[in-house]
Amino acid sequence: MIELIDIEKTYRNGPAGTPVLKGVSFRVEEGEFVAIMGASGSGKTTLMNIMGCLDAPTGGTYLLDNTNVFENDDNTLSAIRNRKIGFVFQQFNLLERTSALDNVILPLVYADKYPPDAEQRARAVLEAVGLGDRVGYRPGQLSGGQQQRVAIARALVTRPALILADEPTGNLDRRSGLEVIEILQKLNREGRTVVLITHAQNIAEHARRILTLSDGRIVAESRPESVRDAAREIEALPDAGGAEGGRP
Amino acid sequence: MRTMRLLNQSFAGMARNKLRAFLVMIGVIVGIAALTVIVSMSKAANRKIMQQINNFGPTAMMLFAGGGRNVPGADPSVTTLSLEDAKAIEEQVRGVTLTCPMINRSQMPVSYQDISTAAMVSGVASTYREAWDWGLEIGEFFDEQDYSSMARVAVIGRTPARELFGEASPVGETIRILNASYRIKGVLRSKGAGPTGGDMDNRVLIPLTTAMRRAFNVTSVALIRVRVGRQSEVEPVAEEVRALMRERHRIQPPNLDDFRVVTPTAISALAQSASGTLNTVLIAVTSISLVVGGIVLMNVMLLAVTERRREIGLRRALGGKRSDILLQFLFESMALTTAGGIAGLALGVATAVLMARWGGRPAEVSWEPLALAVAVSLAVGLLFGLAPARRAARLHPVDALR
Repeated sequence: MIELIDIEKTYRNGPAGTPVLKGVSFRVEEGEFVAIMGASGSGKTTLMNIMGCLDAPTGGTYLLDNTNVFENDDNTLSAIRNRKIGFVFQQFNLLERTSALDNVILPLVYADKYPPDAEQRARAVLEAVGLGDRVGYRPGQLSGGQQQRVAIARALVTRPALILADEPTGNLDRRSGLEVIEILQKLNREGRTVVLITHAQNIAEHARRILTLSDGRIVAESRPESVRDAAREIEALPDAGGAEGGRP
Repeated sequence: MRTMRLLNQSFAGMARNKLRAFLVMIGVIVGIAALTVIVSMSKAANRKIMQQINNFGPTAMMLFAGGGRNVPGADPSVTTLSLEDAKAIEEQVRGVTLTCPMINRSQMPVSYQDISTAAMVSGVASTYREAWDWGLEIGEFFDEQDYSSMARVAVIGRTPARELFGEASPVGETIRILNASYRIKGVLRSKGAGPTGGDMDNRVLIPLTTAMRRAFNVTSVALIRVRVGRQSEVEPVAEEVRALMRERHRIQPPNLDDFRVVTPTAISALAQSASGTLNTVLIAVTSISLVVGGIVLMNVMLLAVTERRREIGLRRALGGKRSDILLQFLFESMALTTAGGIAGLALGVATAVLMARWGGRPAEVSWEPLALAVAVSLAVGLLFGLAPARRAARLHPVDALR
């Protein structure tokens, strides 16, 4: 469903330019949970931008659902992002002074057709990430973990083919981070394709397949013998007094 | 629904920084307020001009004795206009329906018993009522007998009637003008303000024959009112009257006319020049304020684009097209200026009403300023919001998200 063929990216910031991706090729099948792991500077953010149709590669082909993504014009790329990709960012990137509900509705505002049941859909996905009782809260009134769960709900509301999560736990404490991963694992079990980009081995081990990116190349591919289960890890954590709240 | 969500966000954007929003709005507020005052005042001024033209008579002109810069009809020493002139105009100029020669003496003392007042005393021809379309409130006008016998009789205007007799009927009473007694035959209907703003009702009429032979002892007249059939005939007839008068008075260039013809067009030009200066100032205030407001808006919005780069990047990542971003920032700009415009409208209407009440300047509040305020505000928002909105739309999503 996703195929990267010899993707290259060179930033033009000098006579020679800076090569960041030097021929990256891999496939992600529908329903997979793949982690792309790499240290900072390995090119994983650039890779994520290309996979998210935010930035065009300087070489190679990117196929998403069998369409060559970067043959399209800017408006079509926007439509592809809207329909097929759900982003989860490290910084949450929620709109301030805007309720959780309206934040989740935002991608639908940019849909080709604004669905008449937009609000019900937004409520349903907020329910699914355990924030059914927080729909009217603004980002400032929510904890970091809750904000990231709003962001996941926002990524889900358009029913995208691919969830693209870039360091989703990077700004969270361990428990909140695991709760986010738990949701991603649950979504994957329900059939969604998830690509998780991270620098942390212990986070990557929640995926069923790990691609290691180093210096602009995929240097290793592994399938963990035992995939970590975020739900069990949370149970094993010393009781933090239910600080997060709102979870069943 | 989608548009509502976008508009909603525009207003949320406005609330984000109230001080900045106010700075943007203040220019628009002042500009639109000045604009509203202009519209309100010029509407009232136009109505007043129309009323003045109607009082003057849209199908009439006045031929005054004395040319040059003389204030028309004010100088009794000018003796260039005669009864024969009036007769010649009536007989020789096509389109003239009637003429009414008159003698005017302004600010004459008029008294009744021990009460006295000052009014314009006019000796008028028998055509006066038709010439001015001026009927009587009570009593009757002069008859043939009054003219042939040079009777000391008078028809008075509403103002001296009130000043001298209060609520009582003046008809049959005797007033004194220049040590002579005149019996009042009737009272003219009220007409209000005259073409140059004076009180049309402050006058006393006596027969022209009486005025020339007995009261003022003159052989010339001060002015001749000329009536034509249709409004479109006024200017061509005025030209013919001028030509005839030059011929009769043997005036050839480079000698100047010893008469002056005043038409309703000239009256309205006179009235408009009075309100012109203030309007010029207000139009300048409007333009400058709106441009300043627009430039402040542009800078504030450019700053907002820089500050909200992440938001723009996020919106692009979630599927927002360049055009969506462009429209959002344009909406925000227009929301700001429209809010300013509505506030300015309120301020302008209040100012116009206050000016009308205490400043003696008539103003009329109507729907036009509202439509104009909204249209101009939207235009300012669109014009000055375009550059920031384009910058926002052009941001590369990756650079914006970084």
